[in-house]
Formats: sequence, structure tokens, C-alpha cells
Amino acid sequence: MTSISRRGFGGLFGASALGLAMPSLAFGAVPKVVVIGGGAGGATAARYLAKDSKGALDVTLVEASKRYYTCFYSNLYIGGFRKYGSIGHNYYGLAVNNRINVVHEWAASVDGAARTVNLASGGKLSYDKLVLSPGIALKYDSIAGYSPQAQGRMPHGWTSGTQAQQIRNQVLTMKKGGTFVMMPPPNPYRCPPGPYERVSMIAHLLKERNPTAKIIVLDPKEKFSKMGLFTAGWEKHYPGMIEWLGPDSHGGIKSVNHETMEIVTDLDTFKADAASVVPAQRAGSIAMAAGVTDGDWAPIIPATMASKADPNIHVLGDASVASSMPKSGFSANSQAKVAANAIRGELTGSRVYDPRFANTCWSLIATNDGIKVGANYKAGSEKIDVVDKFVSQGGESADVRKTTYEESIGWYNGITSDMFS
Amino acid sequence: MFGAMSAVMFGAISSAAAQTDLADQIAKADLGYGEYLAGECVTCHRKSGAGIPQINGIEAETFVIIMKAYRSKDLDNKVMQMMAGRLDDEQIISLAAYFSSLSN
Ligand SMILES: Cc1cc2nc3c(=O)[nH]c(=O)nc-3n(C[C@H](O)[C@H](O)[C@H](O)COP(=O)(O)OP(=O)(O)OC[C@H]3O[C@@H](n4cnc5c(N)ncnc54)[C@H](O)[C@@H]3O)c2cc1C
Ligand code: HEC
Repeated sequence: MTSISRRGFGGLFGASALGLAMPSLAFGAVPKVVVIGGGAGGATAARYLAKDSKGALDVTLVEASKRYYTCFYSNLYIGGFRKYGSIGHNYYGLAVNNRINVVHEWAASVDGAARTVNLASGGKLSYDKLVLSPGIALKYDSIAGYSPQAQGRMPHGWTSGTQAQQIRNQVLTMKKGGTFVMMPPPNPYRCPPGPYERVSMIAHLLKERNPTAKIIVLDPKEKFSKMGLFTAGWEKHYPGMIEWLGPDSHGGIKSVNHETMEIVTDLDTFKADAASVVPAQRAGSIAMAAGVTDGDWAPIIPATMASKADPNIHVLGDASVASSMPKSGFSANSQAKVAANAIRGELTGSRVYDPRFANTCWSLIATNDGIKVGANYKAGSEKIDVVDKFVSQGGESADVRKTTYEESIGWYNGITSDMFS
Repeated sequence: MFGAMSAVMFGAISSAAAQTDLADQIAKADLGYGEYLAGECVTCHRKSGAGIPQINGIEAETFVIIMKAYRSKDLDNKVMQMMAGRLDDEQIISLAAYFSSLSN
């Protein structure tokens, strides 16, 4: 019987009656949890499920890649603050230290009624609970002319991997005094400050190596995360280099052409020597295949991160509709712990504590000039609601900004060891 | 920061009775709850490394005093003020019991 914590939260799950309906529980077998996606949400969920259940759950992690290059800090790699190798992580700790069955394959579909996952290779996995944390898929057709073919010359760098290397290389080889065009995505998208941190890091690189070059930001949005802090930082560190244009100025983005490197807007045509184009986004395709999405993203029940469409599927991270929580690695990691606690409670009868969420996003504007924005959250009945929040202030001392940057290094080490150790 | 902290600590332990009471509460704390709550902390705090101090093995009563000082904003760090801000005394004590039980 699920014991109810003194915070009275366990009652929400209807305890053991539900548990006994699970096929593997009825025969006393070890309940099976399959996690799809070994990123910020999925790796954390798999690790906490395995670590905290101490063998009472059979945990399988399905992750296509053998190495996870974090999107977080990929901008710092572009700027030259990190080596590429330092943002790559493997699954050794999850497999060996936490005894998770790590399957490096692509999950092709989910049969919710039979509780099975079909792998692209033809294999099949059965589950009592399924966790989906597949991150995003790019909506290539959200920009006329953009496609997987175009991303070679106009890299998005918005999913983990070699795209970030391409961007850095383009900046390094850009002609003297050339123009870099950055096209941020429309809302909602992963990492709201990400495009503007990228602009900062490219400016940092250009200031060192190609100081007469220019950066034009063609934004589909009127305003963006930490806008005042970023624009003040740009004026301070990179005066005259960065021109940000919102829809009021360019009239709307019409199309891109990776062969001519032209970007056509309603009012103007821009010729780029190098560009990063980030299209609109939606939940990773396995969430669509599992039938848990409504439109582009998967709605969830805040207290457990269970899908509103299927109580045996939990959706974490970017793919979920987490209302006021931004799509970030920190958020995904935080949601994973809430889901793991709820799943363990349901499958093994362990205590279920009050769900609590947090997020902080750091951004680096220039050497030792870090800023941060953060909040903590609680599970409302319909939405994840903000409890408290903070943001860096304009005019902070150089000391505070340096400490803020140093904190982000601590956080990077913390979250990656929380995911993979 | 350490100046601020020792001032805070000096003021916090006002009487021997309060101290015994705290020790008692720490001894009775729910370690499992502390471990669950600690999930929020280890996204940033790890065993070693730069940028954010490691907090494993901090003596429990000191831990409580530090956390309360962040909560009351006597200690200055936006992230920690927010994290401590929504912890009640019982939660802080559970965390103190848990982190003090770990080796540093
Ligand atoms: C430039 C940039 C900077 C960022 N900076 C920060 C930051 O500073 N702080 C922060 O908190 N966040 C940051 N983020 C956001 C962060 O990277 C994401 O929000 C986070 O990774 C989301 O975690 P997730 O688990 O939802 O997805 P992901 O981390 O993307 O993980 C999904 C995983 O699932 C795998 N997968 C998907 N589908 C399948 C399938 N069908 N079969 C098998 N495997 C599959 C993928 O290979 C991938 O490894 C940044 C993002 C970008 C782009
Ligand atoms: C978002 C990152 C982050 C999270 C999450 C976080 N902390 Fe911290 N913590 C910090 C930073 C940064 C400092 C250093 C602050 C300073 O200089 O005063 C710190 C300092 C501390 C200290 C003082 C350590 C010392 O030696 O002075 C303690 C104790 C502490 N945190 C406990 C916690 C607990 C408990 C939690 C979880 C409830 C937590 N922290 C969550 C970032 C974080």
C-alpha cells in the first residue's frame, strides 16, 4: 500500500488499487519503466528512478546517440570559452553505476494500449510506465526556403551536436568586415535567452578576430528574454557591432536562401556572409507518435508530469506544456525528479512528497559578464505556477557579474553530474 | 560573505535552550524527506568543483543557520534567497539532517 507522506500528497494517486492493475505487478515481477530520450529530462529521470528504487524498478533508457553534447554551454563553445569535448557526455555512469539498461536505438512508435515501445530496428520493449523526454523537433517549413539541406550553410545549432561546430567555423572563416545574420525562432522555443547569448558569443569572437564585422539579428518577436540586460551588454562590450531588428523594423520574415545566403523580409533583403537560422519548434516526434500531443506540445498534469492523454506516459522537458516554466535543461531536470517520485510511488509504494520545481538560466554576455534569471514553481491543478522569481539587474558591479558567471560553471558541473554520474 | 555569515550565526544561537531544541529536531528529522528535497539542490551543488560551494557534510546546526539567513535575506545571493525562501523550518531541518549525514 502506498504510504502517504505527512504532507498528504500520496492520496492524489489512488494508491495501490491502480498499482495492482499493472500487469507486471500482478505477478509480483519487478515493474518496468522505459525512458525515451537521454537528455536533461530523460537521463535525470532514469537515474533517479534507478538510484532511489534500489532495484525495485527495472529501468531502460532508449537514447539514439552514444554521446550527448549539451546545448547548454554550446554558445560558450562557439565563443571560445569551452572546448567542444567538454560539453560531451556518455552513458557509462547510468549503465554501470546505476544499472540502467541503456539501449542506443531510435524509438519509432508507442502502443499505449499494449504498453509497448517499438524500436526502429524492429525490437520491442514493454513497460508499466513510459517516460518521454525527446526534446524538440524543428519545424523546417516554418521558414520558406529552410530545410535539412539548408542547415549546412545556415545552421540552427538548436539540437545537440555538430551544428554548433559549424557555426563556430563559419564565424572564424567569415570574410573581414562581413555580416553575420542571426534569426531567432518564434515563441515558444527551447531556451528563451539562447539566441541572444549566441549573438553575444559570436560578437565576442568577432571582436577578437574580425572587429569590423557586423551582426544583424532578424527577430520574429517584438521583445525577448532579458532584453534590457542583453542590449545594455551589447552596447557596453560590442558598440556598433550588433543591430537587432524586430518585426517593426523588418516587417516580417519572408524567406531564406542558403545558396545565395539571402534573407528576404517584408521591407528589405539581407545578404549574409554567414548565418544561423533557428526555425519554429515542436515536441520530439515520438511524442506525436505516442498520441500525447495537442498541437505542437504535450499537455501534462503538473503534480506528476503525467500526460493528460495517457496516465501511463509521463512527458518531461521541452516536449511538455509546462506553462510558466521555460523550456530549459534546468526545468527538464527539475520536472524529471517530480515525475520519478510520482512513478516510484505508484509502482513501488514509496512515499510521494510534495512536487516542487525550479529553474535558473544563466547567460554569458562577454568575459566575466554573466546574468541570470530564475524562478521556483509549484504544481497547480491545471498549470505549473510561479512561487517566486528573480532576475539580474542593470548596472550590477563587475564583481557580481563575474560571480554570476562562475555560478553557471558550478551549475553546469552540477547538472551534468546529476544527469550522468 | 563569511563576515556576514558569522554575524548571522552569532545572532541566531541566542540561548542554550534553543540550541538543544534544534539538535533534538535534527536528530528526529525525516532523512527520506531531506533526500527528496535535496534533489532541488544537487542540480547546482555537487561534491567538488568550482563556482558553487559543496555542501555535503556541513554540520547540521550550521546548515540550518545558513539556510535561515538566506531565507531572511541576511545572506546575499539571489538564487539561494529564492531556494531558501520557500522552505519552512521543518524542511530546512530535514535538509540539514540529510546533507550533514553525507561525507564531504
Ligand atoms: C543554444 C542553446 C543554449 C541553451 N542553454 C541552456 C542553459 O544555459 N541552461 C538550460 O537550462 N538550458 C539551456 N538550453 C536548453 C536545453 O538544452 C533544453 O531545454 C534541454 O536539453 C531539454 O531537455 P529534454 O530532456 O527535453 O531534451 P534533450 O536534452 O534534447 O534530450 C532529448 C534526447 O532524446 C533523444 N531522442 C529524441 N527522440 C528519440 C527517439 N525517438 N528515440 C531515441 N532517442 C530519442 C535525443 O537524441 C536527445 O538526446 C539551451 C539550448 C540551446 C539550443
Ligand atoms: C541554482 C543554483 C543553486 C541551487 C538550486 C541551490 N543552491 Fe545553494 N548555493 C548556490 C550558490 C551560487 C551559493 C553561493 C552563494 C553565496 O556566495 O552566498 C550557494 C550556497 C549555499 C550554501 C552555503 C554554503 C557555504 O559554504 O557557504 C548552502 C548551505 C546551500 N547553498 C544550500 C542549498 C540547499 C539546501 C539547496 C536546495 C534546497 C540549494 N542550496 C540549492 C546555488 C544554488
